[in-house]
Order: sequence, then structure tokens, then C-alpha cells
Amino acid sequence: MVSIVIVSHSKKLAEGVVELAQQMSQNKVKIAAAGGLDDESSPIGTDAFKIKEAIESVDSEDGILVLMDIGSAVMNAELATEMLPEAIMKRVLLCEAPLVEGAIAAAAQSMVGADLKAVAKEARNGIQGKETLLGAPEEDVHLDKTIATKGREIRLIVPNDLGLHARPAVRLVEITNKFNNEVNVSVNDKPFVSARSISQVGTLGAKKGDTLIFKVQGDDFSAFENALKQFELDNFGDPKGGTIKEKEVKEPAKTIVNKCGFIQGIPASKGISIGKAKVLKTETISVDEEIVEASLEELNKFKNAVVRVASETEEIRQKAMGHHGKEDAEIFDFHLLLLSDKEKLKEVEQLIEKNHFSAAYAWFKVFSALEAKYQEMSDEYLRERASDIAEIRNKVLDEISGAHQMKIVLHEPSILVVDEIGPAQTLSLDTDKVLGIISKTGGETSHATILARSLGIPSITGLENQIDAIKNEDIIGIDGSTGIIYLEKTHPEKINALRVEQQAEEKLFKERFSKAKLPAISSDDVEFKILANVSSPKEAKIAYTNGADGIGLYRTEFLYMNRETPPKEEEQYEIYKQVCENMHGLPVTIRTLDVGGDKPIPYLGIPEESNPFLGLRGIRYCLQNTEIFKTQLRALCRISADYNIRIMYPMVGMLEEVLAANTLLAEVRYELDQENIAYSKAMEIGIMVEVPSVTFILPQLAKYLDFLSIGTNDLTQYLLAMDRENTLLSKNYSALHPSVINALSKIIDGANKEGIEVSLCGELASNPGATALLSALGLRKYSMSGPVIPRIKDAIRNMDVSNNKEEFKGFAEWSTLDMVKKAIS
Amino acid sequence: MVTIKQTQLIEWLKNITLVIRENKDILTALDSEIGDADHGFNMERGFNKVSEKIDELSRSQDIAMLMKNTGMTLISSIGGASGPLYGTFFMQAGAVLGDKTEITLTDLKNSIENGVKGVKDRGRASVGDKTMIDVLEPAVQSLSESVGENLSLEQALSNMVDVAKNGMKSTIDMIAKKGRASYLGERSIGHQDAGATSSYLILKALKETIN
Ligand SMILES: Nc1ncnc2c1ncn2[C@@H]1O[C@H](COP(=O)(O)OP(=O)(O)O)[C@@H](O)[C@H]1O
Ligand SMILES: [Mg+2]
Repeated sequence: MVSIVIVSHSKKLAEGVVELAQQMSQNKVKIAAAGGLDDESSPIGTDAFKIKEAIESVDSEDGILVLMDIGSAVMNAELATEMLPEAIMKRVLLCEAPLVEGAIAAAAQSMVGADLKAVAKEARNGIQGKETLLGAPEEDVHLDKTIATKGREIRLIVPNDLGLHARPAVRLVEITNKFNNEVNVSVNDKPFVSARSISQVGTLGAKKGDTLIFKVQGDDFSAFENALKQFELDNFGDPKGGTIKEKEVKEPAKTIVNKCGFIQGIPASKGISIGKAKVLKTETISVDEEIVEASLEELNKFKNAVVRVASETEEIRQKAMGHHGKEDAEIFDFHLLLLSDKEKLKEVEQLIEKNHFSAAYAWFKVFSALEAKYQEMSDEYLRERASDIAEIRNKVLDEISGAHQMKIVLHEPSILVVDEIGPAQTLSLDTDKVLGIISKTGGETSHATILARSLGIPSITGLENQIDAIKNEDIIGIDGSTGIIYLEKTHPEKINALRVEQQAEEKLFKERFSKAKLPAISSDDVEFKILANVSSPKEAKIAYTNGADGIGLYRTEFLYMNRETPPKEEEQYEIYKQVCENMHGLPVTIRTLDVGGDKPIPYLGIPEESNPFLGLRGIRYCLQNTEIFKTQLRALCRISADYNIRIMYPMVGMLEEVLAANTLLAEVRYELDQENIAYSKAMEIGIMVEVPSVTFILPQLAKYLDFLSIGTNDLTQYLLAMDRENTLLSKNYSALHPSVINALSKIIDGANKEGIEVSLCGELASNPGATALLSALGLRKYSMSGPVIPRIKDAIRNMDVSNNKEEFKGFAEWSTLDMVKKAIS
Repeated sequence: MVTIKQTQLIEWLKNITLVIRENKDILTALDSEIGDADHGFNMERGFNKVSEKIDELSRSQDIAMLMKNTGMTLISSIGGASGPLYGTFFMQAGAVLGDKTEITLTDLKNSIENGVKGVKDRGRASVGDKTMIDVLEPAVQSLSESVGENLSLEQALSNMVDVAKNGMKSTIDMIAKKGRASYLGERSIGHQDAGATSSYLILKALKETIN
């Protein structure tokens, strides 16, 4: 990881900045302070030697970023760098980024394993957050006030009821562009704007009876004047007599709202939330400032994107024309004109060429400003056009970079409404602001959902086109345990009921939480171990506070995602250590890299597979790419010297895989012996039970293993031959199918017979009904997302295992999913 | 006299300490008008350290080492912008002297020229920015001319100090473009630059030590 050095005249400031930055990086990044002088009587100043020492103290192969305050800090930092040994000097970067913002941004960026250049860039961008909050000084290049007032004048009174709304504005621009004139237009003493530009004409907001003043320079004056008169006579293209009703521009797709009038999705993560809906399509998208030197490339990217979106829009327009007639189609003319608005396009191009902004950022900046302008319009019709601008903006952004890559920024606590959300996006959410997530696609066990659960964010998924019924800023109430969504405008009473329930839930939650760290012992004195599934140190911390008795599944693949090269041994070591530290000595079961399937990582070079879930996944990949695997094993062995960890291989389907993996482990241990590096010989080895084949060779496997952990999500998927991500199947995808329950029973019995430990780490573990059933089947160890633990422990304390055995003794005869559900509810 | 001996340069360092102490308040006062009122303290702290370590410094094997060690001492003790600047000055001034223990006017010129080049590289200031460069640069110029005209060491030093003094005074009418004073923009006009003043004092001490 890139280290950071903070140089300041003030010792306190430098140390304070380090503290802030460390908070960001969760102490994972090495950050040193070099502040002040060692002179008590005048402590303010900078000291090149101190800086040199600080740099050396955090020296890292990945580079060292030095941030400093002013004057002598800069000069002394340079001096210090020159005094360093050449090897270190080469990896030091003195960065002009703002000290505080830069340090925080750099720490965050370094933590995710970015390289020195990327960290520096992020540091420079650090100021942006503040800029968006306070508003950066806008140089308004295009409202040049002097352009206007020359030329011959034409006056026109707006004749139609709705004024110069989108359609007439489009016409007006078209008319202007037909003639060879320079035309500027104004209304109500507003600054003149170019009549050739739709974005500017639109912002005039002229209403019926207002006088439009045109200033015309050019040869085609009279032809233009005639065309304008005709346009006025035509009532600006609107039907006369004032009967026209403006249609909703974007007719929402027919929504399937069920009979009772609420929206039903797939419950994904428990909890009740009430709040404002933020529909991600519009203003929640944000693009960070990015400087790109290859402006030409960016320019091309931008131009191509605009062309593509324009031709797409043209196609839609044609279709609309066919299906709904001219009037509906015309609204797309507005979109097309936006896409060919020379003024705006030029503005974007200039930002790319002169400021070296990335295509995405330049476009985003210009069109967001335009959107904001429309939002401030007094005319409601025009104000609504802001959403058209946002739509076009996002379409082009999507073409440029893929909207799914954009990070989600919420400015106030809200419920996020998205088409789809990725796991990395979920992890990057500000948990203080996200009250809930509802998504169009996704299932109960998609990774984003699982992450939402472990972050404790209520979530509902699989809404399909019902999602269109939720408009931005609507107040909605969601219940993550039932999957029901209410709109306040249609169901105010339900929202109130949810509020009451939410309060009750909170109270119960507090009660359970206070007992979370106590052991889970049933009323007939059977002790259970309740562990947590985690993917990061952050989640481990959450798990610990929720009373986890250890980590049952630490998914390491997230360490490998969103980066260009695999994490080095040292970085892995640090992160694993952090997870162990956060668990304060409780056992941590670490699953080795599980790639493939729905977790593609480009640099691993897994070829396009026609059936990725049946392809090079998990241990299969690792056994073919031993270098990556051995690096991880080395880091794990080293951790085992000081911490209580166990390792677990994923996707094992045959004994050969265990043997091969163990051989590699033995090699790693031998190498460590040679280098005199400590590790624990007693570290336990286990596998995930998720490929059904292993059910049939448990005795053979048991000889080489210390434990089994059943992953019900994949086991179910493979047993039922049902893609867990496929929303069309999600109603039937369930670990409660009799076939799965019987498989579980067989595995648990088999393990107990062989005297090998067995636990369960799938999502099934977080269903209290299932806990009772599984206890009857003989399972004593469960692993689940942290926030669920207090509830499950509570459920266990209130149950009686012998009763459960009695109650569920007929389980082998259950025949349908419904029967199982009924039996355990 | 045709050469300057190492022992004389050691005397020079001692004398700088004395003039800096004498002028500490003036330097601080100048810095207080358009800076942060610490230049006097900074310089005193730096040269006090030099005088504390003078025995050790005197044992340097040659002038280059003497200058280098002085530079390092200043860097580690001054604290303000003048720390890295004067530190660099002395270190770079030594760097062109090989293993000499006594130097001619040409050596002196080369030495100071290289020192000033170091200051310029470090602070990226040029003449007219209202900094020590407004004293140091003309001083180098003057030494060059003296070498060209074959003037005596005494004459050369005396010319240099005259030019330096003018340089120092010229900063009064300038707008600061570098250093803290640059934050004041036009308000910096009318005040003499503190760093230019200390540079003048340092050069003047050299003349007075040798002549
Ligand atoms: N970039 C620079 N290049 C040359 N000289 C500079 C530069 N910055 C500051 N100085 C000089 O340093 C003097 C201030 O020194 P001092 O007060 O010790 O440092 P600080 O400004 O950090 O308090 C200024 O009067 C000016 O002559
Ligand atoms: Mg000062």
C-alpha cells in the first residue's frame, strides 16, 4: 500500500491530519506526521531531517505520498527527499494536493490498493467534496452579455397557453437554424441568449403573453422574420383554443401494483425503513473530476458517445411516431436537439481540451449545470424538463463509461431506488445515509443483497417494472422482512403503522443487542456457536459488536476485486491481521480465494466461459494458478503464527482437489521453515460443502480435513440446478426444498459419524425457523451476517432442542417447499 | 591578500552569528510587517547552533566540508523558509570547492554562484520577487565582474557589499511574489524584505572578516 507523510509547520496539525486520515484507512495505511520543530520555545516550523525520518519510517515499495502545508514545508520536503537513499527517493511523490482533504482522500485510496499515481490523483481531487457542497466558483462562459444587443429587432408575443415549453422551443431553434443569421433572444429583461441553442432558449421560461425580443444580424433577416410570424400564427405549433393537455412525457411502463395497492418485492435484508426515495437514475449519479492527458482520446470517446445516443434516440423517436403519433415523438426532438446543441457540445469539448477533464466529467459538469438551471425555472413544465436533461446526461455517461461504474453519493438519508447495484457499490455506500435499498433486479442471495444484510441495511429486490411506480423524492416505507413497499401518498396509514412497528423493532433490537455477547444456550442446555460471515475488517468489527463467537466465513475475494493486480502477501497479511484484531482473539475461518461464477476479476485472466458457475471457480482456479494461491497461503500461514485462524477451500468437488491444495500448503510451510518464518502447524483445514458430489465421499474426505462448512447458497443452486441470480427463478430458489434439507441432514450425520466438525455458513443460517429445524438435525454451529446474530441467539435461548427433534422428526417425509415452509414457520 | 583561508571562513561564521544576534530584532521586525515575525528568531536559532558546534565544524577536513556541515546545521535548526534556503546555499557553495583549504577570488565567485543557484532551484524565486535573491543574485554578478576585471579580493568584496545593499533596498518597492509576504500582494510594497536583509548582513560579515 502507498504510505503517506504529512508535513506541517505545526506538530499538532500534522498529527491531527494523520489521525483523520487513519480513521479513513482504518489504520491499514502507514501514515507518518512530520510537524513542527523540536524547540519548545518556538515549535512552529518545518524540519527537513524530521521529514526525512518520517518518510523512512513508512517506506513502502508501493510508494510514499508526501503532502505538506506551505512555504518552508515544501522546500524542506524537497530537501528531505534529496537526502534520501536513491532507492527510496525514487518512490517518493511530493504532491500539491490540499493537506487535509488530500490526506483523507489519499488514505482512502491507498487502502484499496491503488498505486502511487492513483493515490496522488485522488488526493488532488480531495477538494471536490467541498466544492460540491459549497459550489465551486462558476465561470459562466456562455452567457456573454455583450453578444446580445446588436442587430435588428423582431418582437413576438408568445401566443400559446403553455408558453415556450419544450416543443415550441425545439421548433423555434429549428427555425432559427434554417437561416443564415446570428440570432439572440431575450424575454422579460433576461440576458440575451443564442436562439440557436436549445439549452439556452429553454431556460428563458417565456409564458403566454410575454414578449420575445430577437436581435438579428445577418442576410436572411426578412425570411427569418416571416418564418417567425408564421410560427406565431401557428400558435407556436400548439392546438388553438386552449384545450391541449400536456401529456406526461415519459409514460411510465405499466406498473404491476398488486390488488391491495402496495408493491411486493423479494425480501432481501430485514428491517423497516421510512424515508425519501432517491431514484438513482437522476441526481444521485456523480462523476469525479478526473484529469486525463490524452485529451484527443477523450474527445473521441465523447463524440462517439453522443453520436450513439443520438442515433438511439432517433430510433426511439421513429418508434414513438409509429406507436403514439407525432405529438409523443416530438418530445424526443428535444432530446435530439440537446444532443446537437453546438454551444453545449463546444463547452464540453473545451473542458476536455483546455482543462484536460475526462470525457465523463466534462459532460457531467456541463449537463449537471444545465439540469440545475432547469430545476430552478419558475415554470413547472420547464422544470420537469430537468429530468429529460438528466436522462440524456446519464445516457451519454453510460455510453462513455458505463453508469454502473459510477459511485453513488447521497446527500441526505434516503432509500436508494436502483435498477441494479453491484457488490462494490454496496460496500462503498455511506451507511449513515442509506436507509434502505430497493432494486429492480437481484435475488435473495445475490452478493449485493448479502452485503446489504451484513451491513444491516434493509433491502428489497426483484421488483421488476413495479419499480417505476416509485418516483424520486416520494416518501416510502419498506419492510425488508416481508418485501412490501408502501407509498405515503397512497397509504399514509400504512406508513404510520410501519413507524410504530419500527419503534417496536428498535426496542426489541436494543434488548437483544444487550445480550448479544452472551453464549447461545438453549433452554435444555445445549450450547450453540454463532459465528459471522464477513468480507472486510469493517464487517468483522460489526460482527464482534453483535456478539459473534468468531468468524465462520471470511470471504477473501473482495480483496482481489476492483484493482489491477492481485494483492501482495504483505497487504493480505495486514488485512487478515486487521480482521483477526477486530475479533479480539476469537477464531477466524478464512476462505481462500473464491473467484469465478458471478465474481469476475479481469486480471485473473479467467476466459469467457459459457457456464461460469460450472467453470473455473474457487479451488479449481487456485490449483491452476498456484502462484496467486501460494501467495495467499503464505500470508495465511504467517497469520497463523499469532492468531487463531483456520483455512477453508471453496468449491471442492473431489478428494483430489483437497490433496493438491494440501500439497501446496505443505510446500509453503516448507519454504517458511527454510526462511525461519513462524507459522502454526496446528492450523485447521476445512472445505466448503457446496458441490453436491462431496456428500457422497464424506468418509474419504474426513481423513484429510478438520472441518466442513456447508454453504447452502451454492449447494442449493447446484442441487436444484437453479441459477441463484436468475430473478425468473427466484421464487423457487430456496434452501428449504425437501431435497436440500435431506442433503443437509445427510451431511450433518455423516460429519458427526466421522467425528469431524460441521457448521453452516449459508443464508439459511439467518432464518430463525431454519435454526430450529437444523438444531433438530444435529447442527450446533452456524455462521451468518453479523447484524442477525443477536436475533438468532435470542431465538436459540428460547428453544428446546429435544422439543425440536420431536417436532421435526418427520422431516424426511416432507415433499414440497410449501410443506417445509409451513413446518418451520 | 590573494586567498581566503579556511580559518578565515570559520571566523566569518562566528561573525555572522554576532551580526545576526545584533540585528535579530530588526530582522524580526521586518518579518513582522509582511511575514510572520520569526525571521530574527529563525536566523538566531540557526547560527546559535552553528556557533555551538563551531569547534566540531572547525575540524572539517576542507572548506567544502565546512560549508556542507554548516548547511546541514542550518537546515536542522532554522525552521522557517530560510532554513532550507540558507542550508542549501552553504551546502552548494561548498560543493564546487573540491578539497581546497584556501580559495581565490575566482573560487569564491564560483562557490557563491553555485550556492545562489541552489537557493534559486530550491525556492524558484528570481530577481524582483522580493526575496533574498534580490541581494544574492546581484552579489554574484558583481563578483563575476570583479573576476573579469581582475580586481583585488578586497575591492571585489567591497563592491559586492555595495551592490548587495542596493539589492536589499530595492526590495522595499517590490510586490512580494514568493514566500509568506506574497499572500499580502500589493500590501507588501513599502517594506524591506527580511530575508534580503539577512543575506546582506551575511555578505557584509564576509567582507568585514576578510578585509
Ligand atoms: N521561495 C523563496 N525563494 C527565496 N527566498 C525566499 C523564498 N521564500 C521565502 N524567502 C525568503 O525567506 C524570508 C523569510 O524567512 P523566514 O521568516 O525564516 O521563513 P518563513 O517565511 O517560513 O517564516 C523572506 O523574507 C524571503 O527573503
Ligand atoms: Mg518568517
